[in-house]
Amino acid sequence: MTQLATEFHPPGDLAHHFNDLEQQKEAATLGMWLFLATEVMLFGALFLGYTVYRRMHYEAFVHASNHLYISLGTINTVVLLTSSLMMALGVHAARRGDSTWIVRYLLITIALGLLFIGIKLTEYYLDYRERLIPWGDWWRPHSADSRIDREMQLFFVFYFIMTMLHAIHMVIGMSILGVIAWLAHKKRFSEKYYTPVDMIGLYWHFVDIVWVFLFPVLYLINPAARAAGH
Amino acid sequence: MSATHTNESVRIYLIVYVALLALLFTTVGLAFIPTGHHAGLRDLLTTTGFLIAGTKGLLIILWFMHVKGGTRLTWVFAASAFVWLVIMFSLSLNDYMARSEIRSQGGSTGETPEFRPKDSTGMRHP
Repeated sequence: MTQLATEFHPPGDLAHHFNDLEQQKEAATLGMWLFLATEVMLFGALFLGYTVYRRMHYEAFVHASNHLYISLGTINTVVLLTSSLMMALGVHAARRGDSTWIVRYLLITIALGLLFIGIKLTEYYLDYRERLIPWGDWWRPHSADSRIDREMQLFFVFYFIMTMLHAIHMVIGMSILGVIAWLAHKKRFSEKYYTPVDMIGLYWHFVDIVWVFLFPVLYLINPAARAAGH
Repeated sequence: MSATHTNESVRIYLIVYVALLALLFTTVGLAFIPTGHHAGLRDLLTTTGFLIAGTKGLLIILWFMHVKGGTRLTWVFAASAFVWLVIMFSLSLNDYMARSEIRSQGGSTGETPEFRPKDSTGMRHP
C-alpha cells in the first residue's frame, strides 16, 4: 500500500493505472470506439424504423421529403464535411505539438458547427412557416388524401427526431471542443500527449458520418418527382 | 515527425475532402435523374445513393478517424459496430420484405394473410 501511495501520480498526462502514454492512448481509442458503437446502434435503430416505414408509405414519404430544402441540406453537408477536415487538421497539429494551431483549427471547427446549427434552425423555421411540424396546430393538411397526410406526418416525426438528435450531438461536441481548445490554449497538450484532441476528433467525425447518411435518406427521396410536378 | 511526412498527411486529408465533396455533388445530381414510373431505375439510384454514402463514411473512418493506421484491435472495435448494424438491418428487413410478399399472395391487403410454404417440401406446416 505504501508503495502504491508513493507511486501515485498527481493529475498529469499519465493516469496511474497505465504503464505508458501509448497504452493509455490505445485504451482511450478502444473506449471511444466502443462508445461510438453504441451510438451506431442508437442511430441505427432510428434509420431502421425509418427504412421500414419508408418502404410501407413510399408515396407519402416522397411527397413529404419534397417539402425539404435540398439546397440548404447540401450547403449544410459541405459545412459539416469542411468542419471534419478542420478537425482532422486540428488533430494533425496536435501530433506536431503545435498548440496555437490546435486552438485555431478547433475554433474554426466550432464556428462551422455553429453555422450548421444556424442553417438547421433556419430550416426548422421554414418548416414551421409551412406548417410541417407534426404537432397540433403546427401541422396543416398537405394532401387531400387524409391517409397520405397522416403518413407525411410520420415522415416529419422521423425527420425532426433524427435531425434533432443529430443536432444535440453537435451541440455536445462543440461544447467539448470548446473545453479542449481552452486546454490547448493553456498548453496542456504536447507532441507526446494529445489523446483528448484525438478522442473529440473521433466523436466529431462520427457525427459527420451520421449526417452523411441522414442527408440522402431524408432529403433525396426522388426529388425528380417534384421537378416533374408530381 | 518529419516535414515531408507532415505535408504528406495534409495532402491526403485534402484529397479525402475533395473526394467527399465530389461524392456529395454526385449523389445530389443522381437524385434528380427523372425515373418516371421505372421502379427498377429508381431502386438502382437509391442503391447507388446508399453506396455513395457508405463510401463517404468509409473515407472518413479510414483517413479522418485514422483507422487505416490503427491497431488490429481498433479495426475489430470499429468494424464490430457496423457488423451488428448489418445484422439488425438484414434480419429486420428480411422479415418486413417477406411480409409484403406473403400479403400479396394472400389476396386483399386487409385480410390477415395465411402462411403456407410455396411447395410441399417446406418445413413449416400450417
